Amino acid sequence: MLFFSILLGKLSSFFIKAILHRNASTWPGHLALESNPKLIKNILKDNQNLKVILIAGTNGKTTTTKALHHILESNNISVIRNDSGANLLNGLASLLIKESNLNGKIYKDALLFEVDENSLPLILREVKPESIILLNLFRDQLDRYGEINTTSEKWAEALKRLPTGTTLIVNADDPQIVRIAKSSNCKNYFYSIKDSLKTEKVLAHAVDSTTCPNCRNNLSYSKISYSHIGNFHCEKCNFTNPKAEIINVETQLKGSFNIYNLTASIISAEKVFGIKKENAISSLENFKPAFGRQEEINYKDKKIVMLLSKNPTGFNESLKIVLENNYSNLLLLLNDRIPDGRDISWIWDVDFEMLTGRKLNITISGDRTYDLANRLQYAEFSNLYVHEDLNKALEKALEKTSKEQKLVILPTYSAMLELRKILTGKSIL
Amino acid sequence: MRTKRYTLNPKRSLSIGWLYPELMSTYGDRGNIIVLQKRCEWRGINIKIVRINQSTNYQLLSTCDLLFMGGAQDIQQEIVQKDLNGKKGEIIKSMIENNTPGLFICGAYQFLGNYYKDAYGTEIKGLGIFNMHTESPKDKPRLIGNIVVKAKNNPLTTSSKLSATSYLIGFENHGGRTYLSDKTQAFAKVIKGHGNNGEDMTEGIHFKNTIGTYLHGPILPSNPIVADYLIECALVTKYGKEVKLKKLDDNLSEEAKINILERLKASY
Repeated sequence: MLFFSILLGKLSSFFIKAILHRNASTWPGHLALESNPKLIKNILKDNQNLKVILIAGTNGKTTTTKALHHILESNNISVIRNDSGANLLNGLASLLIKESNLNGKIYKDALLFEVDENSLPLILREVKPESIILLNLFRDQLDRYGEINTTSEKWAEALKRLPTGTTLIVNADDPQIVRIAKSSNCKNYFYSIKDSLKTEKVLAHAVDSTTCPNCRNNLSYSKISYSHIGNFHCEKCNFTNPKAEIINVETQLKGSFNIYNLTASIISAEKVFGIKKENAISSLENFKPAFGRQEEINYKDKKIVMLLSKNPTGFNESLKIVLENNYSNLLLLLNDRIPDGRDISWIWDVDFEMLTGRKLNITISGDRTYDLANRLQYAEFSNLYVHEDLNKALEKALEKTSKEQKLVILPTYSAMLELRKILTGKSIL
Repeated sequence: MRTKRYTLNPKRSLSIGWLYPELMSTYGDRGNIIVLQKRCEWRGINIKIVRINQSTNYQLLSTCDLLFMGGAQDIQQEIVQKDLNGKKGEIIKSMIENNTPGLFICGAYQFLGNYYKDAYGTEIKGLGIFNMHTESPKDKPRLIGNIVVKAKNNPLTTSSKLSATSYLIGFENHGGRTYLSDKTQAFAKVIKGHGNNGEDMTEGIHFKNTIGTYLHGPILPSNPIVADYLIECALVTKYGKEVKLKKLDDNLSEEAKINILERLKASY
């Protein structure tokens, strides 16, 4: 039975790639699951040596997964991993089919799988992972994921059912995440970053967890890293950050959020795979970010930096990077397709006003070009260039960027994929 | 009868009461405050934003000329519910009945009705300002998506020519179904989308100078005509004279609206 499902998956994968020339990251799994709903459980049961690690959270999944992948391979641990867009059950099944032989054997050591907010509870019904990295929970795609209180309830329910041996690598500075981890029966390892990196003065408007997840009193913050991530305390029930591990990481990646991501990957490598911290840290020295996450791209003699900005918190962090580095040429792209979320209200929760008054060349494009331009008009920006056509917008934005400068692009998810096609000539999904 | 036109001098000022800005702020509704503020500033009207929280003294509320409250998550709404059941709720009621304009979105809109029946059939008393109630059926899906409506009451559609501005757009995302006791009080008629309940084509409520609606988007950046209506009402109520606001450049929001109308094939 397993043999035939895998064969079916592999054949369809061949068909999709060879005949349709499409990336086969979800369909083969979909078909194979139709023929054998227990496919994932069966393959994993036959491969007890394969350690499954899930990486979950709103922001930072891809960077954390890529960093952990990098550490493991540098330490001779072989890894398989999903494409970031293929994070549902069919994506997991596709990955397993691709990596296994026809008898369902996978000769690899680790499976890293990034899951979005909605799919974590679904994946946990099929998979009992060795470990889960719990990064953070912010508002994102309210039309699709719902409100974060609902999501965190579902996570808490799902994690309560995990066996006590499961290792959780947990962000100690996100109150919702801490509560979820503590209500489970798993082994918790908490991580944080140095207080000196927690430099925000006030809570941003886009924060989601200002109330205590235990007693609903207001939380007070003595240090803020970004959004609601920081040193919190509830005066009523004394809920506060658990004791956490802090690691000195050197990285060219900007933003305190990336220190959290890298710290999570180092601790995961240590606790789950027994890799010494010093080794993990040194293997991250030549770590390059994932596409669209601060990666520098050379294109037509110009330098481009892309900062994926898909929700208020991520967008605010990107704007802070623009501010700190005095970047002056921006291309902002707002799409409203299913992977972006259909609702674009969130652009009004982004603090564009932090850049008001600076001399900037701003080009705007995407499905919702005019909505974003309208937002910026109310933040009192002048020098706005508006082009609905992405190719034209990119061309214009590059024209205004001198060779010594960088063009900084802030795209939503689907806009990032479109841009990748233009910049590299190939698509991810 | 001819009305006296009033030229604004810079001493005109408005206070906007922003109810529970931290707790009721899930869906980008801050955009409504930004738009009210900027459209006043650009016309030389002094503007003050008064943030009203659980710890704010209720007397501060009555100094406001315009009220605004956004939508939120269930837990946050419970906290606000408790606070509003005291003195603050009474004051809001008397202000609205005495023509203070207000804008109440989604969860805030539901609060102002007679009652809210949750998924388990429990009735939660509302402030009883709007003559309506809301039910949240357990087995029905949330009403989510872009929405196009046509404002019903005249102040919003004074331009008799049928143009794109007669239509209002937004994004709705609500589980509750609201039923008006008197459907003629509806704020707008649904052209595309669900509105109050997905059944009777009504959207929101328009009572005195106050609007309750399910339109996020947020509503005011997408539909500056509604923002100007609220500002006008606030000035008239405060200074007792007719007001003609200076026209502003709204080309960008107009383009954005046409884009959505075309996409949804709402003929205009």
